[in-house]
Amino acid sequence: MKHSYRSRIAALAGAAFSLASLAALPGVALAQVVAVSPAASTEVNDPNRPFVLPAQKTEVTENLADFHRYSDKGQWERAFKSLQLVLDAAPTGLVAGGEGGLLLPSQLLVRQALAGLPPEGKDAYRLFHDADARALLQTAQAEPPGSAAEIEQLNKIFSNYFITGVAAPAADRLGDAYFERGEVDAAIRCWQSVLDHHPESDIPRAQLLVKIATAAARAGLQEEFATARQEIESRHASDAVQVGGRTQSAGECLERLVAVAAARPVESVPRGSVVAADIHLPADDSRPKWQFRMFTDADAAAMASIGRNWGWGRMTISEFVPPTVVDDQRVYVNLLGHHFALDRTTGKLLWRSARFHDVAQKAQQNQYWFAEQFSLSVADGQLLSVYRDTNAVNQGVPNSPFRLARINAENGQEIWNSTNLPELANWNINGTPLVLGDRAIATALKADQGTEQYALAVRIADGKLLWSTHLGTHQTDMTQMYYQRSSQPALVADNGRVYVETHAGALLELNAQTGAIQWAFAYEAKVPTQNWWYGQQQDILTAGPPLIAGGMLFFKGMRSKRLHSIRLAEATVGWKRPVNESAMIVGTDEKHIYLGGDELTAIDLETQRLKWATKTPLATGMVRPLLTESRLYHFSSRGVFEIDKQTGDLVRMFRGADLSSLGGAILVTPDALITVSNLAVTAYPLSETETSPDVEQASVSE
Amino acid sequence: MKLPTRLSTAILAYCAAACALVGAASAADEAGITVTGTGEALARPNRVELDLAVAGTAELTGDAIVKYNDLLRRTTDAFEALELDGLAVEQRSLEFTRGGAGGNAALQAAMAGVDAGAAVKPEVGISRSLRVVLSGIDKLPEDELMETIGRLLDTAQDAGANVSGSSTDSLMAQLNGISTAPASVATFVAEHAEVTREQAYQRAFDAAESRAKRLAALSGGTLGEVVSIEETPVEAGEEDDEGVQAQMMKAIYGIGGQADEDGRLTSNKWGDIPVRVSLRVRFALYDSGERSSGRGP
Repeated sequence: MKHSYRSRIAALAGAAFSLASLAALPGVALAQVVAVSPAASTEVNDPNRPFVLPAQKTEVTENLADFHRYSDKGQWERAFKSLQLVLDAAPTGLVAGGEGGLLLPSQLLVRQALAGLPPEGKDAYRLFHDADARALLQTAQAEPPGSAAEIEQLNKIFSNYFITGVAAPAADRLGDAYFERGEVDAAIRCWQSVLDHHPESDIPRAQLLVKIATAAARAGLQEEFATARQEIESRHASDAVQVGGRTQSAGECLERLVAVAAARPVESVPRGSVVAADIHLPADDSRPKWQFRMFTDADAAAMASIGRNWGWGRMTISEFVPPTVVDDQRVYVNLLGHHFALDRTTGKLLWRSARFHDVAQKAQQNQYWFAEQFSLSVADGQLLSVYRDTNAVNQGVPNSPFRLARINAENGQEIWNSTNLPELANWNINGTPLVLGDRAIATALKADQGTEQYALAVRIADGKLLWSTHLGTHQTDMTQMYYQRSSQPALVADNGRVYVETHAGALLELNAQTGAIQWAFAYEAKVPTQNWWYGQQQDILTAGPPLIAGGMLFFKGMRSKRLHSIRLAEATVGWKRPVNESAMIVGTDEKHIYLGGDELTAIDLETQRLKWATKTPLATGMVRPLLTESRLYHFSSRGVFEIDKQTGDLVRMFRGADLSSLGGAILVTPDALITVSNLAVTAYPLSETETSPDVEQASVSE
Repeated sequence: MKLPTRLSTAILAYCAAACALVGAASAADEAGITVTGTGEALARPNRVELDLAVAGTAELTGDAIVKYNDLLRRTTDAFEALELDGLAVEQRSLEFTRGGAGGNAALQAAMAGVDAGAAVKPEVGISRSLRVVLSGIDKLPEDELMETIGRLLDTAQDAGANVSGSSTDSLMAQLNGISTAPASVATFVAEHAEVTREQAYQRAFDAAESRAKRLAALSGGTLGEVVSIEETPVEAGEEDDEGVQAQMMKAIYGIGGQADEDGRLTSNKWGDIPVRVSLRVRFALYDSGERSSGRGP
């Protein structure tokens, strides 16, 4: 059969059309890099998140939603039944309910929900629950005053029967009990709840305000004290109050409390790295006051090649800058678990915990050092060190846990070690401990559970564990992060609260006294991988602590490309903006927040616009820039950059005496600029007129 | 169908004539002396160039613009502050890009088929290439030249600019699977090299002629006029001190030193830049008698 010419043409056209249609479909461009990954999520229960907060079950969220839905319809019985299901759930779970995505304890949300009921709702609630609440109060009053049993009963009223007729006296009594136990923050919260939610209460307002002011003044809670003081002075100065069995005016009490608050020393907690005055970098041709080299040139070359020589790419140990702290006499260094102290004036080695001439050799033999997990804090002549037993590492025990130890700063003697304390022996300490008065707040992973992140409070004197709080779960086991930098939480404290930046996708506020989670925030961050491939190249990651300034909390996670802010007083989410993944917070002033990393940048706090950006060499992620009154200082592999804070322009470059290093941290004392690199600790004179003596140069071999 | 006899005969005659002509031409081609002459002349570089790149990359376009502008300003200001005679900064191409910004780790993860982590958000990039030119280097002593180039490199790196290495070196390193091979960062340029080229050509021709004369003398003939002349390509601007492998790779992939546009000669090494010319010349060759009888030229 012959095919006609036209039929052949038609067949060809059809084929051509089909081919054209296929070509028009979206496809993968072969030359394009495709990063396949789950979308970033801040859903509380999303298992794909890099860090999962201790969330309530989905049913709790649904029950809360049901409560609001029934309340809107006036179906009070159903509403309160739903609420009871929430109250029956685990009290430590978090639920999305705060403004802007903050996660709050479900108990707090219940109180907020009850406080927000319309008058008819509150009446209905009292109708249902007043009798139960009165019975609980009678039970509590039958217990010994201040006992755990009394507090438990009162707490049930405060949490579960928040708007009943007896809630105000129960909260008042509970506040008194907490105050007697020293849990000041909880006490203030109880008294404040009466002021906020029970204005009809018979308890005099002035009395509650004086109690709050008293607690705040003694605990150094400046914001709470200021708020109470203002109301007392403006409205209740002449009101009579009962204090210590005596009747006097609220104004008289306040006068004494002002003196108490003024006498209380301001907590020296890290709030960024701001030093008030600018420093005068030494002249270009000046010599250092002293330099202490930790590694010879050969050892330095060996450390730099770790990982690369085995095809794993750069390991964190090859960019390791040892944690270093300074007091008025000495410089203290934690060199991979080898502690030593140098005289701050002469650089002379004063003491050391062990010889460390062979650290480079040990590092090469076993490369799983988790260098980023070593840390050091100093307070009142005591060092708190996080380190691991180097002998265990050398014997091929890659997952030997990190310990917390208290060390006498004067002579290096270890006072206690968590290894030997039953309460702390099973913890793998991570992050840098934060000293708060007589206690230290630390973070830790459960031994053999490298995904479960906790916060601990430890009494510095004897290492007693005061509380532990489960913060959440890492998706990646942090103890298996052999080839990439693991997440080390960073802490900052303010006003009786501790803020824990997990550097893994979440930040939490804890009560410093009890460890209770007040709220939490989940942010976008990458999920770290435990994979490795031959010759892999790593991006340099930095990790800085969160920063509190002007009532705002600023934070930027290690694997996140977002700078976040939270208004602390209202506990509401502020602004966020994109930044480089390698960025880290350096400090703030009245108008700008300054970031470090591979670029020094200044961001306007009001508009969040980028004001300026200055590219700087970044060879180690353990760099610590310094912010002063009008300058930023960055210690890099090319020397110390002095940057004008207003314009970002390079004012001066000081090469220094450590140019073979990768850069690192800058510390300032009244008479010296101290740089700490992966190779050496170097002190330079700050005064321009001071003539440098012959350089004191010490090294490992001494 | 059988062709007519006359047509066949004509065709045969035509073919025979054509063969004769070709043969005559071949014979003519082979007459004379064909020689190759190579000439070399040296050009002294009079300027050095550093190729830099300044770039701003960010998720927000506004941020990228701020970063780019700041870096460009600081880089140009830094070079101006050196106050060097003969120093100029030329702004060249401007490029806008938009793409994923996973960095080294994400790129390698993707190539290895490994989950790279959270979704990569595209970033805007603005980059400009700069050329820092220092003229008059032929008048500088070598140690002063070294110090000056060092200052230029330090200035560029301190300002945050990216110093580009030789594209040839970089490509060769990639072909050899080396990711961190050192690359030349300075390009030495000899401008207005026409005179040098003229010298090279003249020397190449003189060499060819000299060789031809020698051959003519050996054959007992007399060298005649130039019948044809052909230039054979020779690599210019680079010394032939590379290995065989490198030369093969360059030949295969078309990489390598070429005389630059506008008559410039460039080299990654400081020193006189050789210009080589190779000519293939065919001279006529006459018997001594032919010449004297007047039948020659």
